[in-house]
Amino acid sequence: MNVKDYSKEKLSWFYETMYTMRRFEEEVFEFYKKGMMAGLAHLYMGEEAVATGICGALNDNDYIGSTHRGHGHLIARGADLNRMMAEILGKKTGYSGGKGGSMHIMALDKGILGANGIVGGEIPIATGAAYKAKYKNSGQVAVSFMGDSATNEGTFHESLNMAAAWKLPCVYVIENNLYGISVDIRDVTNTPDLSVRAVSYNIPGVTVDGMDVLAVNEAAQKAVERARNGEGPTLIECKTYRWQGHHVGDPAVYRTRKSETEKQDWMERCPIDCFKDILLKEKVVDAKSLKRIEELVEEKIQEAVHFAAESDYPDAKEAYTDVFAAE
Amino acid sequence: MKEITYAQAVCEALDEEMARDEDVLMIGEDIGFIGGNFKTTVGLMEKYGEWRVKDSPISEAGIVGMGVGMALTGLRPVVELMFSDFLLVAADQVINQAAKIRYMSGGQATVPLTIRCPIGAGRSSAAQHSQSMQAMVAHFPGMKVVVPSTAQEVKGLLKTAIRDNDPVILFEHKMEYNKVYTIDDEVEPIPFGKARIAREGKDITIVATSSMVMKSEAAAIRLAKEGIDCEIIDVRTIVPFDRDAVIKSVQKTGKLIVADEAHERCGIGAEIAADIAEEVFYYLDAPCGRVANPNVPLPFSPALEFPLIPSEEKIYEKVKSYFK
Amino acid sequence: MAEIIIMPKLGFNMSEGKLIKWYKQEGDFLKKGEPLFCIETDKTNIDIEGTGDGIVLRLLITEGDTVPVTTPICVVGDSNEDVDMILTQGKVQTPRSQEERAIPDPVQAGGQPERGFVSPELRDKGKIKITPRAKRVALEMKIPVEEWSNISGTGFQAGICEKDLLAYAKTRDKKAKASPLAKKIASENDLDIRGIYGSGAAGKIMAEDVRNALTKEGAAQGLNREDTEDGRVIRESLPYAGIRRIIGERLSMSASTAPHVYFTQKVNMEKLLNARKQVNEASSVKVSVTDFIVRAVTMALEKYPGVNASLDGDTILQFESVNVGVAVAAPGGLIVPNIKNAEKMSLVEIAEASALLIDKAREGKLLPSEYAGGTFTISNLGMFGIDNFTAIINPPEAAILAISATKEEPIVVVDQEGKKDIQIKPMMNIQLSADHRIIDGLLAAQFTAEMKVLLENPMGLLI
Repeated sequence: MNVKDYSKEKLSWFYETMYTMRRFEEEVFEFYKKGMMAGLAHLYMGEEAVATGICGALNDNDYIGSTHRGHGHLIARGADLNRMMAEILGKKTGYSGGKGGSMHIMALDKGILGANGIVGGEIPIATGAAYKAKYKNSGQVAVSFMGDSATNEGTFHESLNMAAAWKLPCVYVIENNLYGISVDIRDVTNTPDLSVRAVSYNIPGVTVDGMDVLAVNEAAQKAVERARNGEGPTLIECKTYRWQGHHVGDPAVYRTRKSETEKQDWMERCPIDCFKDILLKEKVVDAKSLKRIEELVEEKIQEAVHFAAESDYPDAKEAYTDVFAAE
Repeated sequence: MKEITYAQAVCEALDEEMARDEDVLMIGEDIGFIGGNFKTTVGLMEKYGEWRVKDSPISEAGIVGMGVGMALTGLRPVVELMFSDFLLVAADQVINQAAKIRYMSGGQATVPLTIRCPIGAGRSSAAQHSQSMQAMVAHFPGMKVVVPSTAQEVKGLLKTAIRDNDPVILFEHKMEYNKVYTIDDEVEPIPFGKARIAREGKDITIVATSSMVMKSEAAAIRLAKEGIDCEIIDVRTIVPFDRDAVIKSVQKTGKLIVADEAHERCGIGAEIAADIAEEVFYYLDAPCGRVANPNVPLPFSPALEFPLIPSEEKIYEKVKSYFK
Repeated sequence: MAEIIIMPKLGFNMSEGKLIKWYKQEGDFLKKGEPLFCIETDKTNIDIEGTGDGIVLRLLITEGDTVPVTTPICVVGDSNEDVDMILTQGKVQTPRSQEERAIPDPVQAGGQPERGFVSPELRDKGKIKITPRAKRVALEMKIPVEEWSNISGTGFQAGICEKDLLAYAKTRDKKAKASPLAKKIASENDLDIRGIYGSGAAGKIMAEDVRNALTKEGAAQGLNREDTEDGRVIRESLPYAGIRRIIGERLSMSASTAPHVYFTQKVNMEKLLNARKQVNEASSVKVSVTDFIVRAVTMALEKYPGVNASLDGDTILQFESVNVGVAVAAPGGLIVPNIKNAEKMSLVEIAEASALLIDKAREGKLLPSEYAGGTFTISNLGMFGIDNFTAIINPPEAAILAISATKEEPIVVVDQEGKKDIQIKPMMNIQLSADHRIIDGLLAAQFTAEMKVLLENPMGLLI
């Protein structure tokens, strides 16, 4: 699809969403470097086009299942930045009151079934949501995000098999950023394109350039329509790259094993910068509007940063609540 | 009153709950067309359709995970695992996901998922199909653990499990399925966390789970003839656990035995004995004891298997040892 | 707007970072995303990128410096900004000031409860097996601890269970016939009448008996008697309990199970007493005769390790450690603190250690570890003028040395030419009691003889 096929609003949304993700992750990293963030975060920088492109094809009441690298997905679905940042810092004003942290943010009011700390753990859960949609004939779709390495977990195969057999309204999105921590996917899988695995389940599998938000969105629209029509799931593989290591503080020494300039090569294809160039070149959004978007995003980001930093930690006795539902 | 097998009682509970609430649905291996490996879902697929009583492929982690997803999005799924041993295949979805999602979401999420699976040895099913997993799952916070005894109990407790808004694992006993029981025509849901005094007595307290309740009752009849009066407590639910009932009983009798079919090491008996001991220390007239499986995997040959299963005889001997 | 760049914390355990290289110098332009500096962590070197466009205004540290994490190391901003002001303000202004918002320390876990030390001598002594339930019932029924040893147990491991206690209580009740006045006096004084001896017909408790019970010291709980039946008038009756009982039981056990053999030597103490005088003139630490004897014992045991032993079931344990106990009269009875590893100590060190222990013993402040674990005991009753006495071995040791008084006595002295003479010398008897299961006659004799030699040649003890 061509950039001119999109409305200005939609293109602005794409830009704003990706820019928000990038600034949010940068601020998370700052918190970490200052020793204000406990545990670890897994940053989405570089992969913005994937979440944005996919979620740009969804309705408000659709579901997504996310991963440990989930901040991008959550932002794309409109989760509250303040509550996200507060949760990442473990404050009581976070989405889970500090009980979940970065890897377990859930925002059920936005259809976000949850980030998940277990690789492959969310895939059957998203598939269950798709089953519900079919069972209730609700027209909803469930998107299951996963990394390249999750496609080697048993749950990937179990879920795709059932979704394909029963034609569940599900879209499976692989964010192939080449690495499962330090292990190169190309060394542990025999299929350079992971989308090929769709053949095992007799469903369509497509590979797209994960740095191109419009390419991703186009593939997403097709898959979502297919799902809503009751034709079953699709497997979309987005080739992308993460700027930072697996987690904050990971020096990522494994990157240069196959190519000295691997990181720099990918960074030249920054989804945000390239998209901005296209928008300006094709004159579909002007520089002033983009600057305005950036300023508005910056305000929201700084608000989230302050909100999170100044919020209180939860009381220790809160650890004993929310194990079970009140009867 | 009517006569019914334990398996039919399970089936009736599922039927009644599905009739009552269209959000209740089931998924499991062989539950649809043939009505279940242990005949616990006979007729349900015909009645409710194949989307509501779904025959699944052999994907334990997948179907429990789907159950979590369904529960998160508003349904009340009942997932059947054919043997409690297969909880290990699905363990991540059971323990890391279902049990913890509510907590990790700070209370936003509710997971009204019910998992049913059978425990127990006695059919020469050998080591991988004869285990009893209740201690393992009770160890992890976030899941309710139900161990019904009779057919009436399983029917009432299964209804409560399905209506409960939290993840519940309900353990049926595979040796009970074909036994005929007399149950009430109408069975109300039995509340969790309230044990049943199966037999009142004053000399010793036997806390029992699942079919060990009935074995204890048989042993108690023999013991009564010898002047030993047993009080038998049917635990019903290990989580939530009715501590007060046990404490009250031991204060009266001064002696406690826990009868639970599972390996003795780190089992329910160990938990109850340690947990209760603090409360009843000055009422104890003897140390707490256990009747359980020895710490060996379950063998195939009946000559090897039967002597390992905690039996009425073993309960009888254990109680007798307290009254020399 | 200027930015203060800090030394980043890049790992949970990272507390400081070493700057390896600046990629930019002061005045250079920095683009967002360009590497600004390289740091060394414990695992590897990491490049840190700039987070915003600007000019590198100041580098605060140099290559090779190591600083704590979150220390400012660089300022990046516009060329016209006042760096000093930025740095001063930066400490006050940042909304995320580290001190206030740092992650709270993990809660210190509560310490492990102290595990009490149970002396092997006291453990299992005087212990009655009784269930918690029975104990509670006993207290409720006011059946005192002293009576529990009268109850036979049919419970777990033959312990006393509730049933046994109730059965005992019934028999007790049968005995407790008392006159109404006796009962009245007893209840007024909160006394359990059932424990009182009855002098009336068929053991009936009379008012006089209750009054007597009240006036006797320490008799409120226990048994009280007036005259015995065979004409012995009782002055006082004390409970055979506590330390006294423990000592009694232990020594009875020792006397009856260990076949004691006894070896005596007379020791000429002339040289030792002189040596002691000289040592005490020279030393600030006062050395007693007993200290010399301890030193001699230690040396003798090193020569004859078979005496430094203990019988443990089917095994005779010979010890490396020479832990010499010295019997001390303490409040409540005899107690034997021991000097641990005396084989490693000089005479003066022994004197110091024993002085400390004896003081503690007399004040009743010895720790269990100080009276447990002895391997040999010395009992010195010389100060009472005793000529000779025999001591009972202190179990689980193999032998004990009894020291008697030093007295001037005429003895036969032989000079170098062989000429005999009678002289008056300070003589002291030492007597070894040895457990013949562990030590045979020859060894015991050799040991005792060695003791005589060591004590009569005290210079050897000073080394």
